[in-house]
Amino acid sequence: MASRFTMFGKRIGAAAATTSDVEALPLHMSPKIAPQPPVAMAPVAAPTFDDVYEAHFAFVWRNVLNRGVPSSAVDDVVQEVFVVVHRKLAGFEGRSSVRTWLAGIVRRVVSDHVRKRGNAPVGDELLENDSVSSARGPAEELDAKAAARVLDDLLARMPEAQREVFILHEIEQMTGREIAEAVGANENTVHTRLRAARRIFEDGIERLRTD
Amino acid sequence: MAQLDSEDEDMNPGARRVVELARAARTPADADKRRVRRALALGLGAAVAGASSGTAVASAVKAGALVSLRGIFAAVFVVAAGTGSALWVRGHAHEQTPPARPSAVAPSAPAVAAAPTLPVVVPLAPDPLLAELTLLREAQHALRDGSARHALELAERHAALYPHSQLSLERGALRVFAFCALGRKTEARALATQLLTAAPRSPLRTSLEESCATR
Repeated sequence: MASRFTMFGKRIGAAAATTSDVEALPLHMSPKIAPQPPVAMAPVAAPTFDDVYEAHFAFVWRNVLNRGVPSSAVDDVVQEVFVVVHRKLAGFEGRSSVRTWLAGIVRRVVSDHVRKRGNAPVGDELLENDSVSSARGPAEELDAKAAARVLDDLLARMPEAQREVFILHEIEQMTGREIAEAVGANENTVHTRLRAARRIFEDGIERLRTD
Repeated sequence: MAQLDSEDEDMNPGARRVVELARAARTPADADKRRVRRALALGLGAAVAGASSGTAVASAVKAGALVSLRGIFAAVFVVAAGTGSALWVRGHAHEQTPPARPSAVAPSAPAVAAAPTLPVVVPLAPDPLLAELTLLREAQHALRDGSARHALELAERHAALYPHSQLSLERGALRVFAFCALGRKTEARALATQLLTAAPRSPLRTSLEESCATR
């Protein structure tokens, strides 16, 4: 099966067209990007706050946790993200995907949160996270919890710029273009960071296996 | 531009498996979604009221000084005139809050009681709505922390201070949730019915309908 994670370069269009992730639904579609002239076309409604919340809550939640916010603070930080979403939604023009827009907001809110709590090392915070949904069975939950800890450990070894690209691409399956917009870098830079981050991650997994 | 070589397009299966498991672990449960939505319904309801009516809160937010509800809450001193006790309502001026705060009330300025039994609010913030928000936020935190009785007291204090508040709906919803937490279903049901009749399209509707008031 074609990997849903190979979204850079030529495969971007195909991957985007075949994704089934509800969070990737084009809530931002605007008549101005429609291929046909706008003759008697009904305008596509901009997403409401509820639309964004329903479709992207999980995306925001995961991003907040994966960016190092401890479980004890995730509720507050996610709330803050959606407060900003509510405030800025009217100005969202659909020039980027909703997820790109949200990723930028999460980035700023988490950065603000970390700064306010005194620049604690991200790794320490990441290792505090052990949030596991209670919807899974005990065995699977244990695996998932262990995996989350491994992920945190390896994320903590990455420079921040690489870590955020890794999170957005490998975990959230965002395209290179989306990530570039979200983090304010060009696609080549995103690509380079991703490769470096993957190397750290794969080396870390390999070491765990051989230890 | 540089592109990933085909052999580099995905991580090895072991690494991929860890990512997928971790992603599943970090995906929130429905209960997480509902809990945050309910908190937002209260907190955002207040922010919505401010933002949509062009109040000073909206102005402050638009000025870029504030990034969140937490940031909205400038320090407010609430003096309980009836008992003579003072309560410092937790709040934080955001780091980016403009440094010049015009003519803040001096800490030593005497509070003027509006009524013998009612608390008096001496806001250091420029707009009374901030004090309202602070009080409701405090009530929300009390409810979240399991102190429903205290939440109810704060909501009732808000009602006494601001009988015609534009945040009365949020206050009412908070009281409904507090009634539910205290097992006072009859009062919860009556108040929820009243709120939903008055504002059938409120963003709080879902939360109210999911509360004990409709069960």
